[in-house]
Amino acid sequence: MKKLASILLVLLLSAGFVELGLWQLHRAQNVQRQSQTPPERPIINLESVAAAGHNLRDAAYNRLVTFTGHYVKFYHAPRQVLTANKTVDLQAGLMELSGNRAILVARGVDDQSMPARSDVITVVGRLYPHQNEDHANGDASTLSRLDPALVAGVGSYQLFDGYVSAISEKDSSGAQISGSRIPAPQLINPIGGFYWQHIAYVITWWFMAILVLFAPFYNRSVNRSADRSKKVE
Amino acid sequence: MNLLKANKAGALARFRVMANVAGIMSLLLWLVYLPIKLTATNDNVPNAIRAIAVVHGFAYMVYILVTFNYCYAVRKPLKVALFYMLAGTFPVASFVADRRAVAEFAALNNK
Repeated sequence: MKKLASILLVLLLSAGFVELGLWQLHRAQNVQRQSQTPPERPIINLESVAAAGHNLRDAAYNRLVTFTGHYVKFYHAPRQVLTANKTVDLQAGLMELSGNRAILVARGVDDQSMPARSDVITVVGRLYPHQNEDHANGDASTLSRLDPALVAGVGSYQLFDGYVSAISEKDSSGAQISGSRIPAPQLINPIGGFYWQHIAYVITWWFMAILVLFAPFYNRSVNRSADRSKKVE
Repeated sequence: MNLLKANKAGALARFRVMANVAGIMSLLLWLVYLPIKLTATNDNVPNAIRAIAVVHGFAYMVYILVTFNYCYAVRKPLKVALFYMLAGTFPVASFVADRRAVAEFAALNNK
């Protein structure tokens, strides 16, 4: 009975270490995969990937989406990070869509070139998760971060989670609306660590698994080796 | 007989080198890499700091191998071998293991 329990324990521990090695291997593969920008997918309707009043699904992030509505309020969104060393002040707008729904849109750089229009506009842009970190102090006309939770008090709209960074805007006649747009690259999800670091842990965990399997024979093997060396001496 | 002694001394030397390397890397990992990584925004950790984790990963892997080799060579019981292997994961434990190994090895040779 005791022997059976020992065998079970060794097998369980060994399986655990193999599993830990596999976990690190998957992380290494994720690091490798996510360090490359995935191929661009076609533009789709916002409603195809997101629903108002629901959290954004992972599959919705980075999608190029299009939707039509009209802006009901504009905001200043200061110190938005454009690149590692560059920040800009953006103009954001709350756009009302049909069915009393609304979405937050980062229109572009908040300068004179960005017209504040309230007519029907079709937006094409990239869908991003809402920001969690404040970049500035917020007030009624300033957004500290691009997060629809901050505009929840405006009207009684069902809000889409996340925000869209506009790549282009067209009015109802199909004419482009000019303005200083900002680049809307695909976000790469950072996963801690480096590929080779995870690979080192894979080897370590799997070596542990082998050691555990060898453990029941270790003491016997050591004793036999000691006997052998005594004979040699 | 001399060959056996030389094998053991060689295993001890390799263990000592890796115990100190793993100890230094653990110190850097716990006191430099982890505080920077945990306080960094958007995982924005400089590459030089990230390298600490990579080197630590490989150093620990080699440490495990040479520890097993040393423990087997000097016929350490399994529990002690496990203690030596785990010592590589804590910042100062591998330095303690190194000291202990040297003392035990000296005692073994004086028998």
